[in-house]
Parts: sequence; C-alpha cells; structure tokens
Amino acid sequence: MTRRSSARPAAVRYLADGVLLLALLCALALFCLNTYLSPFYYENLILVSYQPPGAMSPVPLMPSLALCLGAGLASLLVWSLPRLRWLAALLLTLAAGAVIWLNWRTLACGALFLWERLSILFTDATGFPGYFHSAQALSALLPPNQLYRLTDAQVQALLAAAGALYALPLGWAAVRVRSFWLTFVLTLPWLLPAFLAEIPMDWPALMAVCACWAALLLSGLAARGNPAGGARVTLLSLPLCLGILVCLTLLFPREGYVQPGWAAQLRDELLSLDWFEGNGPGAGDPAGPSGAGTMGALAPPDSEDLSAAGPRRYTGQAVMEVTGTRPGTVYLRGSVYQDYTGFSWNLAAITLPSSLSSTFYSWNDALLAVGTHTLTVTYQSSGSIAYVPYQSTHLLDSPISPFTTASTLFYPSTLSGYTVRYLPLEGEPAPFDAASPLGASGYREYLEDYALSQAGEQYLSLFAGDDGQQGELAAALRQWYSQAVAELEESGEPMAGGYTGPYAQELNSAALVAQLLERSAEYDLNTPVTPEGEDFVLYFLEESRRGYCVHFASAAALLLRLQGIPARYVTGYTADIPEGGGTDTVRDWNAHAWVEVFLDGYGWYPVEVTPAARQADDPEHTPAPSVQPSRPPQASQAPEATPQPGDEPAPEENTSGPPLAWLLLLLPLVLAFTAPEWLPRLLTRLVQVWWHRLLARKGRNAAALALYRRFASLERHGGKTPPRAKELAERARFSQHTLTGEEVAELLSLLAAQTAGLGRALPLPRRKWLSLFLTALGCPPPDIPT
Amino acid sequence: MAGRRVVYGAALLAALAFQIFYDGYLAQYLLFCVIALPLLSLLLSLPGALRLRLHLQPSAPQLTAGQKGEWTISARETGLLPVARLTVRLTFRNTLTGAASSQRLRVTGLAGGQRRVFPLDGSHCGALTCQVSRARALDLLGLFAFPLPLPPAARALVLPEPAPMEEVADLEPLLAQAGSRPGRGQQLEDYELRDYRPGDSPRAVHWKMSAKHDELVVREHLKGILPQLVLAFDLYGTPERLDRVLARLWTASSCLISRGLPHTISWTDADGRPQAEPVFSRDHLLRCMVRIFSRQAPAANPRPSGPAPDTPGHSDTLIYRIRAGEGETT
Repeated sequence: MTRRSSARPAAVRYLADGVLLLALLCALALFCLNTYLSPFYYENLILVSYQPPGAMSPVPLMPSLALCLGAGLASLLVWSLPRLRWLAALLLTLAAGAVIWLNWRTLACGALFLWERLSILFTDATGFPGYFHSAQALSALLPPNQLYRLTDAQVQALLAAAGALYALPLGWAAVRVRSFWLTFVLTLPWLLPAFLAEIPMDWPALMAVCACWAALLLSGLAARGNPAGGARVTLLSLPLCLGILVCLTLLFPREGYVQPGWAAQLRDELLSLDWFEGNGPGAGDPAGPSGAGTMGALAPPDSEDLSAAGPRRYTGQAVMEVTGTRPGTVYLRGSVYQDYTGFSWNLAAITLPSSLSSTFYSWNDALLAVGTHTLTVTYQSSGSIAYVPYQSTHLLDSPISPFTTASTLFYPSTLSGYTVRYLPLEGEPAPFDAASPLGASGYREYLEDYALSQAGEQYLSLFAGDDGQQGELAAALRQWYSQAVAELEESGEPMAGGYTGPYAQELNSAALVAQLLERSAEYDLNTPVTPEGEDFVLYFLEESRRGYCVHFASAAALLLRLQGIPARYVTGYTADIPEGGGTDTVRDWNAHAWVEVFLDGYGWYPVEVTPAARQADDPEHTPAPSVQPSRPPQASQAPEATPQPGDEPAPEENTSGPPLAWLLLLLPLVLAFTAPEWLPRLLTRLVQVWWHRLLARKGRNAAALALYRRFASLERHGGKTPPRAKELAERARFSQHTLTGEEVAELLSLLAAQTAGLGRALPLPRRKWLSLFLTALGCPPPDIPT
Repeated sequence: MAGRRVVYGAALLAALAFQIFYDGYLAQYLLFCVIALPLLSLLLSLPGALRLRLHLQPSAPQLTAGQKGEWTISARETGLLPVARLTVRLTFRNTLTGAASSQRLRVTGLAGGQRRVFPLDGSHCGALTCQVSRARALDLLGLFAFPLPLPPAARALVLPEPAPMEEVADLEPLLAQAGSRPGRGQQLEDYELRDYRPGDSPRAVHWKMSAKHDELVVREHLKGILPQLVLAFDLYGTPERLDRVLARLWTASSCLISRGLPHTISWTDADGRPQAEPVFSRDHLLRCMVRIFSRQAPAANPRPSGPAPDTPGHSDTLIYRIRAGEGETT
C-alpha cells in the first residue's frame, strides 16, 4: 500500500530501538550482578587469591551499568547505520578484540576471578563438586615469581569486554532483525542457570527482561511493514508491560507463595497415571512434608526438608497393599531422622558393628520360636524402600535387627514386595530380661554395648549447628514448655500419662508433651510453609500454632530431647489390617510421621503425638472406624491425650479453595469468555423491559416514534427511511389516531427489512445490536450476514 | 494467524504444565504473563481497529473497452498505534460477461492513510463491480481478528468502443427512409400524449394539457406517420462477440442520435423475454447500456428460432438488426 503519511520514521525508530536494547542490556546486567555476583553468597567466604589474599566484594553496579549502556549505544549505532553495518560491526569487534589482546592478562584474571565466584555459587546452590580455585590457574597463567592481585577492577574490565561483545549480537537480533525468538535465545541463557540452580533471582531485573520480551512480541508484527508504527508500539508497550508485571507481583506476592491446590492436585493425578514410571512407594518419602515426595527416586532423600512443609494434598494413590494375619493398626517405619537443623531433619547414620551380627542372628533365630506374625507388603510399582513394622525379625526370610534398623531399609527393587515377620506391640513396653524370649542372647548385649551409647549422644542434641543456636533453641523451647505446663495446671485439666511400668517416666513425659501440643496447636492440613529464616519448630509452637504430623512430631522430638529423653523423628505409613486378618490398601494419605523414644533396656519405642485432626466424616480418607488398632503406639493412656486411630494415618484432604487473587483474575476471564452466552440474553431482557415500560407508560405512539428514530440512525449508514414508516410516524406524532398493534408491528418489520438491506454496511456491533433489538421486540431477526 | 495461534496455544500449555509440575513462584508468574499478554494486545489494538475505515473507488466511472483503469482501495486509520495487520478480500465482477475474480490484500503495520491500486479489467464491455467481501484487522500479536465495516461496492461502466461506420454501412438506406418528414398538417393532428420523460424536447411539451393535469405532458407523433426505428440485436455469446455487437450498436445508435432520430433498442434478455429501451439522446443511450449490462448475457441465443423480436406498434417500423459478424444470420 502506498503510504500517504509523511512521518519520519527514523527518529522514533531509533528512540524505540535504543530504549529497548539498553533496557534489555541493563536488565540482564543487573540480573547477573545481583543474582550471580550477589555478596550474599560470599560474605562468609575467604578468598584464597594469588597474592595477597582478599575478600570477595560485590561488583559495583553503576560502573557495570555504565559499561553496558556504552556497549548498547555502540551496538545501536552500528545496527542503525544505513549502510556498511557489517563492516562497522566487524570494526567494533576488532576494536574489542584489540582491547582484549592488550589487556588479556587483566581480563584472564577477571575471568578466573569471576569463574571462581560462579563455581562457589553453583557448588553452594546445587552441590555440584566443581569448585574452581583461581589460584591454581593463575599460577599457570602468570609468569613465575610475579605478584598479582585479583581485584574487582579486573572483573569490571571483563564484564565490559563481555558486554561490548554481547551487545553486538543482541543489537542485531533486537534492533536489526527485530526478532523475538532470536532475542529470546540470546537472553535466556543468562537467566536459565539461576532457575536451574534455584538461586534467588533478582526479580526487578527479571521483570524488566520479561517486559522487553513482551514489547518485542507486541511490536514485531506491526514493525514488519511499518517500522515507525512498530517503534510507537514499543515505546508504549514497554512501560505498560512493566507496569502490568509490577502489578502482578504486587497482586500475587512472592512471599508466602504456595502452589495452587488445583495445580498440585492435577500434578498428582498426572503422576499417578501409568505414563510416569517409578511412582511407587519407594519413589520418595511417603511422609515427606511436601506431600509430593521425590518421584522416581530409589532412595529417600538424605534429609526431610521441613521448609517445604506446606498444605498437604493427596490423590488417593495406592502405594502398597498390606496383608496381615493380625488385625489392627500397624506402624510401618520407613526412615529415621536424627539431626534437626531448623529447617530439616537429617537421616540417622546408624551402622551396626560387625561384631554384633552373629549375636543378632542367633537372637532372631530365638524369636522364631516365640511365634511371630507375618505381614506381606505388595507395592503397586517398583521400589526399594522397605517399610517394616516394629519388632520385625525377618525380612524376606532374612533376619534383621528390628529395633535398631538403619535409617532406611532396602529390599531388591526387582521384587514387587516382601514378607516380614514381626512381634506385635502389645501392652506397656518392658525391658528385655533374660526371662523374656525377646531378651535372649544378643539383644541385651547390643543395648548395653552399642545402642545406649548412640542414643545418649546424638538423640539428645536439639540442634545440629553451633552451640549458640542450640542454646537459643533450648531456651525458647524451655520457656514454651514451662508456660504450657503452667497453663495446663491453671486450667485444672489432669495431666496425661498414667503409665506405671518401668518406663513410666519416659512414656508419661511423652504423653504430657503430646497433651501440651494438642492444647496449644491446632491440627490443620492446610498449614502454610514456614517463612524463610524461621525455625520450623519454634514458628510452629509460637507463631502459627497449627500443623500436622510433621509439625507435631518434630516439636515433640525436640521437647522430649529437652527433657533428656532420647527421641527421634520417624516417617512411614500406617496400615489397618481388618478384623480376622486380610488386606489393606495403603494410600498416599496414610503417610505419617511420629516420634520414637529410647527406652533403656527395651530400645526405640514409637510414640504418637499428633492429635486427632478430624472426625471420621470422610470414609474415603479415613480408616474404617470399626478397625481398632491392636496396640497403637500411644504415648499416653489418658483418653484426652490418646491419639485417635482415625487421625494417625493423617487422612488429609485439600480443603483449601483457590486464593482470592486467583478468583479476581479468573472472574473477568470467565465473564469475558462466556459473554457470548449471557450478554445477548441480558441485553434482550433489558430491551424487553424498556419496550414494555414504553408501551405501558407512553403508549404505542411513543413506541412507534422510538422505532422511527432508529431509521434516522440507520440513514447515517446509507439507509433510507421508507415512506410508509414516515407516514406511520407522522400519524403517531401529529394525529389524534393511536396506532394499532398491527401498525407498530408493521413499523418493526420495516425496520427489520431496512436493517437486513443494509447488511454488511453496518458495523458489526451495530448490526448485532439491531438484530438483538428487533428480536427482543418480538420481530423475527433479520437475515443479516455476519 | 493460525500459526500464531498454534504457537500461543503451545506457550500457554507450556506455562500451564510449568505451573503444574513446578511449585515455584516463577511458574505462576509466567502463567499470568502468558495470559495477560493477549489481553494487553487486545487493549492496545482495539482503538486502531475501531477507527479503521476502508473506501473503494474506480479511477473513472466510465471507460471505453480496452482502456486501462484501476480500482483504488484506501484505508484510513487515525489512531496512535498502527493496525498490526489488515487483511482484505476483494471480489471483482463483470455483470455482463459473468467474469469474476477475487484477490487478497494483506497490509502489515497500517498507520495513517494508505491506499493500494488494483488493475481494472476493461478489456470487455460490461458493468464492473469491485466489492470488499471480507475485511479484518488483527491485534498486535496476530491472535485475534476484528471484523471491519465493509465499504460500499464501487462500480464502473466499460462502454463499447465505437465501431467504424463501415460496419454499419447498411444503416444508410434505413436512415434515408426514416428521414422523410411528415407534412405539416399531419404533424399537427396525428400525435398522442404521454408523460414527460427526461430528454424530451421542450417544444414537444403540450403546455395546455400540462397545465390542466398539473404535470408535464408531451406530444408524440404517431408511428404510422413518423416511421419508428428499431435497433435489434441478440445479447448472447462470448465476451468478444458481445464487444463486437455492442460496438456496432453504439455506433448505430450514436449515428441516429446525431441525426436527431429517436429510436428504440430492442434485445432479448437471458430469460428469452423481449426488452426495449427508447433512445432519444446520449443519456438515454447510456441508460440503455446500463440496462443491457445489468444482467449476465447467456452463452447461447435465448431467442427461439424465428423472426427477431419487433417493437409492437405500427407496421411502418424500421428494424435494423445488428450482427456480430459477416457470417451471422439475421
């Protein structure tokens, strides 16, 4: 098309291209400096530089940005030249190359320095053992016996050279070619490592990059045929996009973000399909606080990440089938955790001395004579973690150490299940003495020689960190415990407990802890994640006061350790074997966490500290109420502290609806997409109401005149008022005659004919509106092409 | 547009999958961005699309066959931002020959006023029509299409190029016969009255009767006295044949008009019904041509074999049959 407008595109285009390119370069520079070179990662690190040693400091922002701006301007100048662009680009590259050649040593040191920083960052973030030490490379790079110092100026110089070189291809993609995809490909590699390594990103810079992408997308099509028009789109859309992104960030803040329930549910449902392999019980920690586990993993994670313990969501996915001969609830222990770090539990490092092996075997052989029960566990898919009941003696017909199993037991992943022999937990635990069948031979030796020494050390530590933090945690826990006990005493409520056996002190303490936790905290499956930087247990006890099995078990373990009782955090499943024996399907909501306390002379004994969270109103998620546990591992015999069988497996369901912000966003979308459905009906109804009111209040003559006015509006689009319509309108306006209903209907049909005749000449909204209007008034809709 | 929609759908699905399988904040943020981007595009594109107006115009309303002409489609957009893409489908049609064609026009980055020219096919006689059958404006992302109001169709007449007088040489005897004027007494008495038609000579107006009836009445001499001339032709055949016939008709009629001889042009329409149009002046001839061009000419002669249709009236009607070529029978 021949352009008639005589706008000068050059100025607008140069302005828009410059703004876009410089914004992109600065945003990328800011992102890299603040994300990859943030001082946060280096503040505690001593840099061993070549000579003399110095501490890493953040690269100054302003010089770096100024260098990027300069490089961007040069690139803009090159690619905006009317001719000889490639020659200019070549010259610029050669100039940059010459600068690099002349200062190669400085730049090489800067590169090594930068590489060292990045390797520290990624090693710290990902655990990748690729730490790079610049000193080794420097020794090879520099002449011998020469003192050289790594400084930030070298990094600055390197960044300047890199920015100048990078600005050229970026300018070519964004300014010359104006290709979104090329620009995207050139900019994404700077952002991707931060995402993959889960490094906290510089969000404002990321928003600016996204805004530049969006502006390129929006202006790309228009700029193809009209560079000046595309430039105007860029100039307008860039700040608009930035504003929208900022609004999105404000509307949906990052702090406290939890993945929406629908997304988590959809993910679980998708993962439960057969398309994904390795979603068996061994594929992750069933009682993992995230509820998602690490699908596909053959081994549990080394630690239970408590910082991810957010709202629990389950799909009902069958994990395993448990067939037993003895009815009741069985606790299937999976992993045992030892060290608490404030945001995770670390797996217990349990190793058995080889000298004990023979005594164990003899002890297990002795157990066979006592009479054990069998439990057959069949997994729904391949796995390798063995979940075994307490007092297990044999796994796959091989004797195991039932009370001191390693943190996690494994079985061959080629098998679909296993059979385990065990002695049910019955009654109050008692020490194994020589008279007891369980106390025969080697087990007592083990308790005395090994288990006690271990339990006394590792399982009394509150915090796996420095002593200062442990002291602070102990003080806070002690204060909470004292206050909770005082409140319990003030309330007049009897203390839980009632154990009278040899382990009455430990079990009564555990019962009291469970009672205090139940009194002070609410069982809530939708508990949000613990804010970053907060201690998981302290935040649960003092701030949120709500949680589920993970929270209760973690807190109870620490509170018991505080009182000198060795305790540890355990995850696993619960199964309810039906009356008379049979099979129970263990699903993902049967995942659970509880506490084990060490009883001197007995070993590790499970304690349930999670209070009843819900009643058995959800038969699908709750074990059958008729099934009573044979001997649930209770810390308290008092009814008020006794955990309900129904809540032990933590049947959890996502009851949280979509957040309000989601609704606010979705509502207009839903309204917009369904507008073709409801808007015509609404308008039809409005027209009908208007028409009936007009007829009722002002009569048919006024209605006819109202219709006649429509003819006048159609004349603007080329319509002609029919003489008959004019005659009827004049009669309605000037004569004493009141038009009959047939005459009004005739006027309507004339209007419909006029509308249909105008057909395509009318603008679409007006066409639709008239059609709707006539339909609402009872006139057959005119056959208008749309 | 389909490709862009597919790409956007893929991006939306990817963002959705990312939201489902990644529990970080970035997933939700990207999903919102992907949803918000088309909405922003719509918002920015809507003013330009609403203000966009199209206009169609021929280079001249009348052309002679063989003369070159052009259609001009102009678009006017007064918004700040350009219309990312305008797609227009134009339909060209010659009513007489039935020839039709269509063409797509795609303009990217439409801003201000722009126009594009298409050749006007004036190779054959007829009434040419240029119409915009579909016009849509795309949003900035190219995902949504706004339908635009269609401009009125543009029309142009392609008149026949006059044939050489030699081709209608046999008209001369007819002219000599028609040129014998009636006597003075006859002229005064033998006439009939009819309503005034544009082009009638003011001298023919019967002023007394006009005053009595309050509308113009003219005198028309009876045919028996003034022989009526009829130019008859068959409207059928290929465009080339039609061009030849119409060229001869145009020459003959122009000749009669130049000599002040009213006549009637008679033909048979596509349904086989006889049609006649009186011609008194050049305007009448043009009007007659418009009427001839208004319907598609059949491929075969719709007139049944037999005598050519004559204008009903007196027996002294002088009929001149226009033939397409030497071999064509009358």
